[in-house]
Amino acid sequence: MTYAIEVQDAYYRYLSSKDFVLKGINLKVKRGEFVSVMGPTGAGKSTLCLTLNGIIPHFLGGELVGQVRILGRDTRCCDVSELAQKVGLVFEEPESQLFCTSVEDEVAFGPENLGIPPTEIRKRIDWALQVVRMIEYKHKPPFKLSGGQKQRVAIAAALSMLPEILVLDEPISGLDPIGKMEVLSVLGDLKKRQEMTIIMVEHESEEIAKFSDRVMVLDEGKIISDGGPREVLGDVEKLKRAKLCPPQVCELAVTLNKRWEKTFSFLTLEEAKQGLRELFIKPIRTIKTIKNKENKVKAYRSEPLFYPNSGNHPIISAENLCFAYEGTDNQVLKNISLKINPGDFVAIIGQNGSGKTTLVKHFNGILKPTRGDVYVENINTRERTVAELSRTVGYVYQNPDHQIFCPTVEEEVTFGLRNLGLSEQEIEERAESTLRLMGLGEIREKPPTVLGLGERRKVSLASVVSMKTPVLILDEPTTGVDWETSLGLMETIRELNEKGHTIIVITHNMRIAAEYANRTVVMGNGEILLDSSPREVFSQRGILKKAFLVPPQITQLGQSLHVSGMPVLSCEEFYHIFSKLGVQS
Amino acid sequence: MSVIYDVYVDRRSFLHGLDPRVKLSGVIVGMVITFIFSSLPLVLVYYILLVAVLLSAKVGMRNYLYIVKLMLPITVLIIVFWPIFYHEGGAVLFQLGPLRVSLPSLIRGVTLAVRLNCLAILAYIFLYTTTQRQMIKGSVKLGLPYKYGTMLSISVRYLPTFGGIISMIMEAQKARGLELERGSFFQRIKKYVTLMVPTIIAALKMSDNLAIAMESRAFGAPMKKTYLVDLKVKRRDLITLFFVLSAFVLVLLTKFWLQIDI
Repeated sequence: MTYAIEVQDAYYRYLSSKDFVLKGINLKVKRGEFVSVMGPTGAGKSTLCLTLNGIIPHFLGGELVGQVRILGRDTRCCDVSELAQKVGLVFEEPESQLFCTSVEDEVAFGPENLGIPPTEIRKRIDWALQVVRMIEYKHKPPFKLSGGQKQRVAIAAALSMLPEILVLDEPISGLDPIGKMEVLSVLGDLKKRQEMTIIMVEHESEEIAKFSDRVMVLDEGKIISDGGPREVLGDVEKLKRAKLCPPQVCELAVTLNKRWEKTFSFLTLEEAKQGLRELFIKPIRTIKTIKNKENKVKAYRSEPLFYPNSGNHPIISAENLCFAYEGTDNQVLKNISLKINPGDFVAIIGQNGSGKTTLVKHFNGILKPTRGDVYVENINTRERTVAELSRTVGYVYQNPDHQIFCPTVEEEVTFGLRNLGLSEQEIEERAESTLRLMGLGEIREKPPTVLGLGERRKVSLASVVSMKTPVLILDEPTTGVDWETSLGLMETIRELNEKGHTIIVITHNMRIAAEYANRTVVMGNGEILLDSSPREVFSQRGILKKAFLVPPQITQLGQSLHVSGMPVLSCEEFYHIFSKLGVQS
Repeated sequence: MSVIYDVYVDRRSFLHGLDPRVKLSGVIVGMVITFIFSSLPLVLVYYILLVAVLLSAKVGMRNYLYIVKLMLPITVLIIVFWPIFYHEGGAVLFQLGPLRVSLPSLIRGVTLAVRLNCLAILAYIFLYTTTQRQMIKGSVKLGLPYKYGTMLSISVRYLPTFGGIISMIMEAQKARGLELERGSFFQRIKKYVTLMVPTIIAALKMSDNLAIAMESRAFGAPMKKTYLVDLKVKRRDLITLFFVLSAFVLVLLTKFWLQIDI
């Protein structure tokens, strides 16, 4: 039997690099298998993807040792256009893989290059767009689509060349929850109905658990785990050593097994619910007897109850803020009133296009309201320039590469300080303390552009932190970096908050909103739907559902086990609360 | 967000359905005619005719006014300066020191301004009603190699993307207290370096990824390329071409054979 993919002892290094990126990959994938590949940043996941359709070595050059066989044929012996009909490749960035001006053209691009007759191309377009459920967008320009829709068009554009294998390099990591759902359900269909062999590089272990037949962990160019999802994802320790984030229910199973001497093995939320339901029948009643909501919260964790908009001296306040981009009637923000108090740690969550970024851009004056007012330190932002506001509000952009331009990390950190016009001595002192705080001391002389994404994020954060602005805004600070790096970044941000900075974070990661913030703002369609403590917000399942947001897995589990209570926010909490209620036996 | 994309106006009309090559020849003939006409009343009538053609494509008054707005500065400049710098005899309308404005030179200025507006309308008749795909296909059919055609279309496609990236980078640097508008000329140039480095890096990254994505979709495959939509010359294309050419011949005959000044 020929395997769909067979890789033997593959080593690869790029033209420009000294070291091998892939270091002895051995891999056999059967036809129709759905394989997920996880790994920390820089593990060689993207390189592996490019090896599978012959871009490596045909297009990128470099040195490839060992063998890569696709459907029995050595990739060295066929050119990329031949391989394109066997292996379809989908990338993370929609901007660089959708280069035509209509969806139809995009999907036709491959077949046209292959010299397929137009009548056949037309059939393929309709088929591919139906598979990804985008047929009604056939004549739309791709740039007008949402993230999930773009990614589905990219899949259709690969499908129209009728490949047997689909390789996806982080297809959902840039997407909001709806987009993720859309893309994953299409992939599920492809596997079931078209018997497509699918290789998907992804970080999100909870989604991987639902869809994969097999999970691989790649670390430093080697495959360190390979097996069924239960086996690989259940090995929580090993995943964590590889800087990855195991599903919360897997973590919970390990905790419970250790402390209660059980033998749980959970892979999905459903399994955990079933496994724990019997155990928890009693406490459900116990909790229901506690009538007072406030007492419930106190019973869980002694945290101060949170009252938004109650501060007398907000550092930022928006009053009836409305905003529409010039020349359009489309209201991006609708009558928003919000007070941010000094010391807040606010997480803003919501779908793409719900107005999160537009809202925070009003806080540093990049945007000015169409109607209503925004006050920063009691001064209307209309009366101040962005440069003036940059002394109060620091803004770390989503893509660190948009901020980084200096030859060394240290100069990057001092750039903002020079703009503030500080003395040389002051600049030096502040740079020193910032580098120490952010753990960048060792790489201060390095050019930031050669660093990994996680470190570049840190540099761009440091370059804003050094300005000692009372408020820090971070736009999706953890997108695209592995879990351990994310946690490191968030810990640093937490420290800054403890030092007195007011923090505003935009995030798609519900665990970050649950575990770090002390206030969560939910936005939908240009309005604030919820604004309260994470605990209160995640208990509002109805509203969250309307905003297409799903609470962290552990929160959902807790909610399904005792319906009326306040939600738990982390594995640790789950264990403590339920063991306090005396359930272990 | 994107100026470039918005140029094409998606409607169903006679002009939208016309073969891009025929449309292009019509526009070129129209431009030549603009230069042949020299009397103001005729140029004005011609202008009105062109506006009617433009509006027949259902692009809407707003898009017409956009052209007017675009041309307004140059129109005003020409009407003001032409009579001042190009003297022609005839009745002097008014005099300001050494500057004399005569009626014929004023008419010449206005004529020239209207002509330029005619050219703009003609160009936009083409741009508003022709998709990028048709433009590329048309130019390939007229002899441009496919790779250059694709290159052209992709660079047009990415203009707004880069515009977006640059404005994002500007925002990001402003948020760090950069003030682009302040300082001496030399200082300001130095400030623009802070924008250029990230822009160049972003451009290089994107073109790398783009090349890989295109290659993955069989760009440059050895097979002979096919086209989903091929240009077929329909009867109405031929009729239009016939009308355009006869109008052209008519104008030429009137001007050069009959020697009538029009």
